[in-house]
Amino acid sequence: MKYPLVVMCTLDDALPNMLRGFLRDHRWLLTELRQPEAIAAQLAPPRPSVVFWQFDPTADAPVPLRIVGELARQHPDAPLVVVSDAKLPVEDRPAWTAMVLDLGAKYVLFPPFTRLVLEDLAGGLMAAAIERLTGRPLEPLPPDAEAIDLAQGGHADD
Amino acid sequence: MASAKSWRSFFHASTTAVFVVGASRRLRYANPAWERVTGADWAKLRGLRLSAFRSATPLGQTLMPPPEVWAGEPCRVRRAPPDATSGPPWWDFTFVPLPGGDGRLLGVVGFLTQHGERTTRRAAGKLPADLAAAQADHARHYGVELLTGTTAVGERFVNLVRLAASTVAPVWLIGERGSGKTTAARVIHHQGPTHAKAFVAADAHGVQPYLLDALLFGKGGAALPTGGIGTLFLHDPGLLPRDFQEKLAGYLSKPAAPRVVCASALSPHADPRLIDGFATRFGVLEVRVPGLRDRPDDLPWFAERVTPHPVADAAWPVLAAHDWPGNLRELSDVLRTAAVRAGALPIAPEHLPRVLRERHLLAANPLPQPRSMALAAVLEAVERRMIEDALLACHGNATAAAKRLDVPRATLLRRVEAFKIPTVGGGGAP
Repeated sequence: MKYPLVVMCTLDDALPNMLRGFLRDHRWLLTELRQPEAIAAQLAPPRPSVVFWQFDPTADAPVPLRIVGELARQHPDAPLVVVSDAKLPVEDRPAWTAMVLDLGAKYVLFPPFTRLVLEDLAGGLMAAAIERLTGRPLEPLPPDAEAIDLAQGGHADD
Repeated sequence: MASAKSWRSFFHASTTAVFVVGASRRLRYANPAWERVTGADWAKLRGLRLSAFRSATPLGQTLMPPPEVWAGEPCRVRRAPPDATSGPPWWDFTFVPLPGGDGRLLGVVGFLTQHGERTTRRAAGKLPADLAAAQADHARHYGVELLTGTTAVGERFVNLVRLAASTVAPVWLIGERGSGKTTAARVIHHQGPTHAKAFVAADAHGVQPYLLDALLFGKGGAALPTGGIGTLFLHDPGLLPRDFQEKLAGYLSKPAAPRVVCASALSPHADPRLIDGFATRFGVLEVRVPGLRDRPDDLPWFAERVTPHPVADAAWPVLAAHDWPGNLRELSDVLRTAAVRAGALPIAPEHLPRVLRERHLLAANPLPQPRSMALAAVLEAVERRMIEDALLACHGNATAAAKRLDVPRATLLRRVEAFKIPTVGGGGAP
């Protein structure tokens, strides 16, 4: 199996920087793109992949959401997370969310972004992709060597 | 010491936008540069109440100094203008508190600069027309011909899908992994009565329940009344926590709820992870999605849809010899990898994975069948072999052979007759 790959097509470095350490810990590759047309080429050889794609729903230029549908059809096993760059009013979000999910996205995120949510999404979707491809669940990371196991070593006050 | 009038004239001449907020959180002063940046008329805004709450005007919310400034700390913040949810342009504020002699805050001086140019922006709530076209184009790919195939198994499956698409009754798709349950669910949606609304897939594989909850029921989630979900597709709902299953069941039992299509490897009534009533409520019409090994004759038909790359005739027996435990997903991965290896050439056996080629070789040259292990047959074979050896050693002399085997001569002759062992003389008794 080829190394798992996280493709991030974003407008700036903020999202990749939030996930960089998490992906390094898991030894998953990270590819950063600026042009959404380049995503499909990254997914050509079959491998466990997760795609984050950021767009601005309020931009004047036509939003290339057609790519979401094409990716979902051509690479149904590469889950796609669509990230909105603009914090839309709450009443405007359901229509965008439903439309993006209808096109085949796995999840839709609106600002503000937190590291925990991004890590949970990337980790969970990648684990599912690996299990789909190999038929075996992803092995959890070994515990951090610096973590203190109170059950094992007892508390300092004991 | 400068008088109040002199500091006003000092700020008035400045090209930096400056404003002063009193301790009562009201706008007390703003210079002409501030009017140019904000586009507001100071004469009309004198005494404007500033607040972070929605009760204030949008400009009043934007100009409000953050709490740390009221605590006496200078602060810099970047905010979007009041009529926008995001920049550019951005308004950069520098707030400086003005402490009085008795320790009380007299007010706050704010300096405002604008960064970036305003761009033309579309109203966010209105979906652009090109997206509706993309949605319609996407829906066109999910016709029933996507599932048809060329075999009777495929035809039976498609008839069931047509039946499911003709109603709004809940459907439960049962099939192995990779057999195309999600595609079947999409076909049911796009060919069904709810096709005008959105197809929303909630996949418990890989998306934590709290994220699914936020996606469906959170602020701005897809399940809000304005969300317009036509079909909610639940992939393996047994993986969801039981309280979330109850929440879903409650929401989906409302009159305006979307139609439900569930999918799993198990029949809903055989899945112990589901809460009481979930299987009964949503497993109304069960549709079994056949695996690829159940329709081997459809292999070329599916291959044609997986990749446009041609497949050489020699590769088909290799593909047909595999039992495809991963179904269509495995076929897709194998052919896409082979297409990369083949380059401009058609996909040949050497481009396919070694495990497939070895399986094909074994199928073409089967191992010899193991002999029967029945005890009677084994004993008979041993007895026959010993009699043959004894007769050979005694040059066909039955008396000597019987003596060698320690059996009466008559017994030996009966066994020779029974086994039809050829004798030295060419038949008959030795």
